[in-house]
Amino acid sequence: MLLRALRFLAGLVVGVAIWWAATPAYNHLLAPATQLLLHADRRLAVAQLVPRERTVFVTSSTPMPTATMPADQISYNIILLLALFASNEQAWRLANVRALAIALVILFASHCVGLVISIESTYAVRQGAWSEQNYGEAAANFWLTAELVFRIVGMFGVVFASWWALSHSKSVST
Amino acid sequence: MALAPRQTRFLIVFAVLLIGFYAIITIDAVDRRVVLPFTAALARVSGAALNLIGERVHVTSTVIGGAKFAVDIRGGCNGLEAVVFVCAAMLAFQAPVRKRILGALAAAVILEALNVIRIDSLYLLGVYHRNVFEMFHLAVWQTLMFGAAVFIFLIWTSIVAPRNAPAST
Repeated sequence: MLLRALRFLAGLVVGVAIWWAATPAYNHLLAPATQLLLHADRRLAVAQLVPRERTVFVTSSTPMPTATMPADQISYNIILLLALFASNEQAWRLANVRALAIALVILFASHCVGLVISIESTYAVRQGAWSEQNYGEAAANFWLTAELVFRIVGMFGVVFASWWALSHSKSVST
Repeated sequence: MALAPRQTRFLIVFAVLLIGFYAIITIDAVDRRVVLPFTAALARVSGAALNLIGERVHVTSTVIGGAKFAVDIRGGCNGLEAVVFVCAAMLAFQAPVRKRILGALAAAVILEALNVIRIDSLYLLGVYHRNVFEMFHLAVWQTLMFGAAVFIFLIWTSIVAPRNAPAST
């Protein structure tokens, strides 16, 4: 278990470095993918997501207010994912790397959903009159709650579940 | 990449419990009567530890303040999210109920002790190395807290169910 903990810490260090360095480039993938999802909501169908360093800027050609989303606060759970996969025995074996690749795809999808939730929550609650005109009280509460659940426990729950499922599936453990 | 039915059941129960527990601690009455007093107590313990090592801080409710810097311990920084996380995992795991409860209690104590270290180290970073405060606050310590929760869970499973322990697969 001690060796496993050391591998975890090594993975954490690597994870922090990757997250810190790669977030601006990653946001260039995250923004367009999230924009597709976001347009499913007609209230935000005109929103354009523009990656700006560690944030994603929400704008449009309409009077819809703009917002700056701290996208790095949605994607930092990649550090835990990398640390957990690094803690597995023989972390470099093909099965573990393949499982990590699948987990990264799941994580990317969860980041898109997380960013949609954060944007919806921002526009539902923190845009003054625009929020009141476009979101009812129930919708505002829903998006605010969804954001809290995702940010506090959901984003780590996704990581743990992905790691657990993929590290203990038959093709990896055998 | 197929999961055994027992592992699938574990993941489903874990997710349900995680959301359920989190919902409980966000109820307004629970927040006012349990979470806030707990967080204030955590601030007092963390403040006392800082005073022990020579930092002159004072604690007001959930705020630890010094001459140069102050931290306000809020939801998400009181360690309860990691406690909820590990409790959900332990209670979802197939083991005797007594061992699940004992495990969850022990995990809560260990994680909150670690959280005192987190709070104090963040205060010290805020005073002496403010340029890296945000990185440690957001990325490093959150990962360490949840990583610790996962490790506590793995150690516990290797004790209560050695043959099924995830660490051994």
